[in-house]
Amino acid sequence: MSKTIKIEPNLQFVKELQEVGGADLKKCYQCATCSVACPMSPADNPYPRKEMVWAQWGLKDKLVNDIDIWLCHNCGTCSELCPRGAKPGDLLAALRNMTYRKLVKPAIIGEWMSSPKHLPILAGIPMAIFAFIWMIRAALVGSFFPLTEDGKIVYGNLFPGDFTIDPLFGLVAIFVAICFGLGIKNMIDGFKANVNQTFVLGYKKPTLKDAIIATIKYDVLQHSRFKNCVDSPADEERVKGHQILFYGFVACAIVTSIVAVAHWGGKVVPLLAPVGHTPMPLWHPVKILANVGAVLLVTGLTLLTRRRLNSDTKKSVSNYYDWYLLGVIWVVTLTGIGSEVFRLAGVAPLAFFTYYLHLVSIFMLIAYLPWSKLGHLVYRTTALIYARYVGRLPIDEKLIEDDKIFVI
Amino acid sequence: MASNSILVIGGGFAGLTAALEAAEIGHEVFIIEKTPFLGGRVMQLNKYFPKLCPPSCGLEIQYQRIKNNPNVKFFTLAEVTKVEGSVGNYEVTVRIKPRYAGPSSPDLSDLCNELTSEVVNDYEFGLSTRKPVYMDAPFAFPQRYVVDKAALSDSDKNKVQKCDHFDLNEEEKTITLSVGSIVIATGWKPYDVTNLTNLGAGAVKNCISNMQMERLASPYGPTNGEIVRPSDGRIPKKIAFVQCAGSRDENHLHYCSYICCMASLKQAQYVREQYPDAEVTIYYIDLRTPGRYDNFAKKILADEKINAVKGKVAAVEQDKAGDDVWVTVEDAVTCAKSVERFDLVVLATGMQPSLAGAPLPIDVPVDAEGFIVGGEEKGIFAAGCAKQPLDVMKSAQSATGAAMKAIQTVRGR
Amino acid sequence: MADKIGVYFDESSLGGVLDIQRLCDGVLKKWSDCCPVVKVHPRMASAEGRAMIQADIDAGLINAVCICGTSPRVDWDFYKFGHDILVERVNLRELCVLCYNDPSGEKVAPGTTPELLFKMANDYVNMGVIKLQKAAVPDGGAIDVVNHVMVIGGGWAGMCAALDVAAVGYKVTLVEKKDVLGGAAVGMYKTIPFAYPYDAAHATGVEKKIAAVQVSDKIEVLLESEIQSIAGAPGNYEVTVKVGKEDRVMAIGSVVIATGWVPQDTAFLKPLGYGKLKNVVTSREFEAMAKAGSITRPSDGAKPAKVLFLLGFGDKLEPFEVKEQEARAAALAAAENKEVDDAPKTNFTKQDTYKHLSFSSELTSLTALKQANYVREFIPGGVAMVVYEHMMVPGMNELYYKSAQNDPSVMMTKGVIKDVRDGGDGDIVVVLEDTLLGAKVEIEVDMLVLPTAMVPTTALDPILKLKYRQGPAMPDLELFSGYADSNYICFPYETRRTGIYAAGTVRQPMTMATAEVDASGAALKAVQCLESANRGMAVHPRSGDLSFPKFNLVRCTQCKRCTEECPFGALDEDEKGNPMPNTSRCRRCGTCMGACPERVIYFDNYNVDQIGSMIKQVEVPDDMAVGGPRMLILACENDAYPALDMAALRGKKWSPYVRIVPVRCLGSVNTIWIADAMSKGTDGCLLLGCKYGEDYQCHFVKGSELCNRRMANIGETLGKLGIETERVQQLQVAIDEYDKVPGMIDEFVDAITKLGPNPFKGY
Repeated sequence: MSKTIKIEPNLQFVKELQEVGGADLKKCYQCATCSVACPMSPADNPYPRKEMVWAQWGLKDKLVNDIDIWLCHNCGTCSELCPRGAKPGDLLAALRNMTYRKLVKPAIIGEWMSSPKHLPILAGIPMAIFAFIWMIRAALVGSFFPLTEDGKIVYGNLFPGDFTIDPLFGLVAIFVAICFGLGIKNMIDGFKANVNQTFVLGYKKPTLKDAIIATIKYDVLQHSRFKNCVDSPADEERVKGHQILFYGFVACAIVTSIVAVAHWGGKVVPLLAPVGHTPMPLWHPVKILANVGAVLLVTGLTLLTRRRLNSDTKKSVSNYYDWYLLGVIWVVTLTGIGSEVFRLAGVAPLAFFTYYLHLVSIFMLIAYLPWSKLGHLVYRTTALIYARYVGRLPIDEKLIEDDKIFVI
Repeated sequence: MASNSILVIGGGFAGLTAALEAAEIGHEVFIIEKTPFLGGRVMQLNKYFPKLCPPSCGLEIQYQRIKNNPNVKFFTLAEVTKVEGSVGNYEVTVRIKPRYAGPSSPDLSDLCNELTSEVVNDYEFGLSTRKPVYMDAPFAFPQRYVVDKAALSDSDKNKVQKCDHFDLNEEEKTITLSVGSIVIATGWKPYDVTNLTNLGAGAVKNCISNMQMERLASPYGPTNGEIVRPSDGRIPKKIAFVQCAGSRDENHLHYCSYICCMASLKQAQYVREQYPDAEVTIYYIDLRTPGRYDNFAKKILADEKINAVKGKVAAVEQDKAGDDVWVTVEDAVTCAKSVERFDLVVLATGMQPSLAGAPLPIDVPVDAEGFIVGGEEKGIFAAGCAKQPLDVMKSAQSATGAAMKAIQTVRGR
Repeated sequence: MADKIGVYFDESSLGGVLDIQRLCDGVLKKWSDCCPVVKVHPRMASAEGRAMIQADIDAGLINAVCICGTSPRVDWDFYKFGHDILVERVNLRELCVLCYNDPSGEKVAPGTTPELLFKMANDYVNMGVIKLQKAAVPDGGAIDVVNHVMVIGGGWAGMCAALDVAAVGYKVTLVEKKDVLGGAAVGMYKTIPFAYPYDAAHATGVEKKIAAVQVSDKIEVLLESEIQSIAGAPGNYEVTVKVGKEDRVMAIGSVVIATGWVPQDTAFLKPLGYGKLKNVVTSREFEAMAKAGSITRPSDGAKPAKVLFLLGFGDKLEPFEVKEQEARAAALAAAENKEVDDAPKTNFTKQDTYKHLSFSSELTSLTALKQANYVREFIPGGVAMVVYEHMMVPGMNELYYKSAQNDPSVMMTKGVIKDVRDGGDGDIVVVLEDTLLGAKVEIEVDMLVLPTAMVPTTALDPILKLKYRQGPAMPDLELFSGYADSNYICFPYETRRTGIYAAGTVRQPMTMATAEVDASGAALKAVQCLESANRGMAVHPRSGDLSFPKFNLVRCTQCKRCTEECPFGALDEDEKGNPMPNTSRCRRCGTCMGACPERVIYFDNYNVDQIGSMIKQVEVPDDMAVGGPRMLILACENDAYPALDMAALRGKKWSPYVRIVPVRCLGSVNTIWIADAMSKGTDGCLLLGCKYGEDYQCHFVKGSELCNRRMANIGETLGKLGIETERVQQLQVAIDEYDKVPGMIDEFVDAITKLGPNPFKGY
């Protein structure tokens, strides 16, 4: 079993990890408290101790293809119990950030996303695009803040879906999809080389389908592994917040797709059209769903932000990736609500400007998705599916409960 | 006017050594001991590593030296309450609590046994109770009883008062001493296990501290030397030693307590001597056996029933059903996380300076942990574990060095 | 000679089961000529009790005090009557009343004194009286001492010791072999932190020390100098020093040996690649490079980008272990065949062992951390890898470990070496096992740094060149693998050569910070020894004892036993082979007295006649069936005796047929005592002494072991007399075996009783 492994220490990589959130990793003296303290870490080759020593030596290949960083939901218990203040939890977060930054090309976006100093570029791109559209349309309709003849505000008049917003975001969506595709491929290839199959006796190898279903069911919908990752009320708030936020997104996603399907579908099947006709009256079920979504987003965001602000820095330190994502979602949500409120209030300039910001922030959320923390939506899901598929995770969450029998 | 005398605070092994070495050069020394007896922590140890010899052997010699040396004056139940003056010329105020038992040492064992009240025995770390009239050890020095007045029941009071050896009306005394230099040898205390929440916080029945283990193994301890489980008196077959219980840990003691690794190896030996079929596992971060202790470590680890595993224990839990103890740990070399059942678990709890949370009324710098980190220019010198964690040999070394510095201070002027 | 003895009985401690009046009458009748005062006091250990005795002394009625009551280990403070009044404590409480075990098994009823108990008490009282009669007030062996300390070795520890001695007002001569002071420290770029907060290596500060030594008007520095010989005794040694070319003879009071360490022979590092591969260097060589200002590869002078510091040797040293075991076996075999009586020409054997590598673990670990930090300092972008089996940085140095490790370029893992091989163009491939990076890993490095083990200079050379009968070196060096260390955990400065104290790395591997403290300690002992010799007092463990062995040489047969056996080499020999005592070397254990077949050696207050007479006071019934057997116990007063005391206080009981006589050390037991006891019908004799062997506990080093050897001769003597040898036994008792020792005694008594009466009874 003991085949000789060549080791190549990489000082540069160590420094990079320290930059993206692993500042204290050098303090670790390998006592293994973290691996044991972690409520989720499996019995065989547990994390994050091994990741710590790899990181100290800068063993890049081992780390970038390490599936375990995705099994961690960063409850911070390991960092809390760490006798040296080496913050293993933060290191795993840093490694995930590293993936967002490095996994897919164009690398430059990853670069931009890694530090606040590039924020102007990231924001500047959509601002320019939408400002440009605004100008053109203003020239065409003859007003920067056009109203309908019955004095209503209709954003579509300034930013018409048909030949500006939809195609633009359509292209963005495709671009993102392709990037993610490549990302997933890179990930799987990495895993194939590094993750070996382990199965507990009396436990049959699952099919890919089983793995996908289990992951969607437990992790995506129920957050059940995430829920295990709790050792303080703050953590429970975090799980709650994350789940609420998640469903908020789901709601908005549904609304957007209904509108899109109805709108474009309407061009083929005319009677569909009215369903997706915007702006919608407040009694409209889709509208109601949209507003419910908005409320969920605000609640989730509040919970998560409050936790981050009060979180004990000894346990874990929030990094730029965390704040970027929270920030953008806040802006998306608030400008979304703002647009609606100001529209109803009929304050045209404010309404249009807010809507403009809304578009910008949505762009910033979606276009950079593969390089942002939100990428975990795809990457973590992929990793968890793969982990279940190869037996790194039990296919049935119940096995996690009585972890102790799980010892090999 | 300047004084040639030296004050030694603490009558433990470092204090005794500093005092005797100075006295045997011809200086008058005063030992101030807080408890009723001299000897300090080492009294509570069953045996020393690496020779596995009894501490009372060395103490006996120290006591002989005290008896034969008029330069040594000691005060038990005494505490320094005030220090005035400056280097070479200190006025030290000492408060002496009453012992309530007169000098001379008749054999009062019968009377003690008749007393009704029982007190939790701190000397035995709560493993047993004692009578309110007591001596800590058969070799207690001075070999004189002390009365725990508060603990006497009314009937006890009558019995005690009847015996002319006692005087329950004895009052607290205050004396002042003039000295030229001060040696602080206040030693250490075991780190409070209740802080170690993930290691059971002292609530797990059969999870004891290493000092409790010393008491269990001691021939005059609560079990007269038989190592058994506190919960049911059963003989342990599978024993785990959890190293660095509080030491080398930012959340507890930042430093390494120096002795714990050797102590656990020694205690593993206690167990193996008593129970030829017992199995011992020592969980460590690093097994620290510096210098020639290497011989000792090799000798003990040669026993195939004693094995050492690299991994810091992160959880110690009581078995839901019985009195057994579950230990959760990762073997860092094989990368396997496991949960093991043991009959008895010993926490190698570290040493904390006695001054932690209980500073002396002396203007001397201490670090965040309570170790003394200066004072030399004032003619104040720390000896032994008041300065840093050390084993007995190095404490004696440190104390002899401190004595030399103290002598230089009083002679240099 | 005590001729007017006051005998005092302490009622309070004899608990009403002893017929004290009858004992008094006994004394008055038997000792009327020498015991003018016989009194009883209800509580002797009290101001009144003491005053009563003092009054009798002041009235000139008595010149010696015999107190019959508690053990001499308690209430000592009540019974001091000045230097001229001998005091004897007859331990009737612990060793008679409390331990009395009536053959009937019945508990003794208060107010009644069983005859056996009375006989025992009576024997003890008589022994006490005769002991005083046969004792004189020791006159002390005070000598005029030279208040001048010699410190051998001008390194860090040596300089610290010299400064410490000078600071208490003594003259010091500092002898250094090289032509500069400073020793190993001079070659060091940095040292690990001395003090709080223990977070960074810093300059050694050796230059400051050297300056301080040079300006001190009390310190004389002799460079390029070596000890030629040390003769004489503490207080006034005659030391011959070779200074440059010529020899200088100096009068010296006491000596501190601080000759430090030398790097271990690199032959021990061959299995780790040293010598075979150019870029494998020792940490000493690495330190020298840092000191010189640039770290480069020996092979090509390039800066090594990847340096590995190795601390885990795996099984690479096993060949040496095997070799040494074989050598040891051979030596033992050789020792077997050669005659016992030919004395060894030298007591020195080289202790050049691979073990010094592991003994240096603390220093090599700290050095690896320190030097790992050098890498970043000297080599931009360089990485330092540290591979350890156990990071051996106990105590406060954990804090240094933490800060030294917190450096991106320092990479550490547990692991042991499996293989080193050439990686081409000067590179080295290191194969490691049991690492935290994998079971078996391979790393290519530019430079491999191996630890330098610190070998104490005393392991390779006698250094002291003592002109002692027992040889030129510190004895027992093999026990400590060549370190001039103490055997005693409690007494780190204990030495078998009184007046000579080791400091620093010659005693144990230690950091500079520790060496500084150690030097102070050794300096104190050197001064203390002078002050004691000056007052004719013994040093540890019988500190303050004024008695010392005296020799009645007219009867000496030059058998040399005393000079060979003295654990402290206190006795030299003249050309005829007569012992030449050196009082200030002596520790007053009496081993010489025990060794002497002619009984020519004695102490004023402890001698062969005295103990012999005490033994004669034991009344041995002619008929064992009627009066029961009698057995003598000679107990070491440091450990066995306290154990017996404590056993009694813990309510343990033992046979009433034994009589216990404390002795200074079993080494002082003269076989004549046993022979006499047996020839007057005593049924058995039990010797209780300390553990001997490798981890000996005897405070006089060899006492119990020597006694055990003498038992052989006793066996012969008994054989000649036709007495079963089982009647005399020696057992090892530790001071904490108070719960076991009563059993040992009873077992012995039973065995003897089974043997039946001593055939000599009644003759």
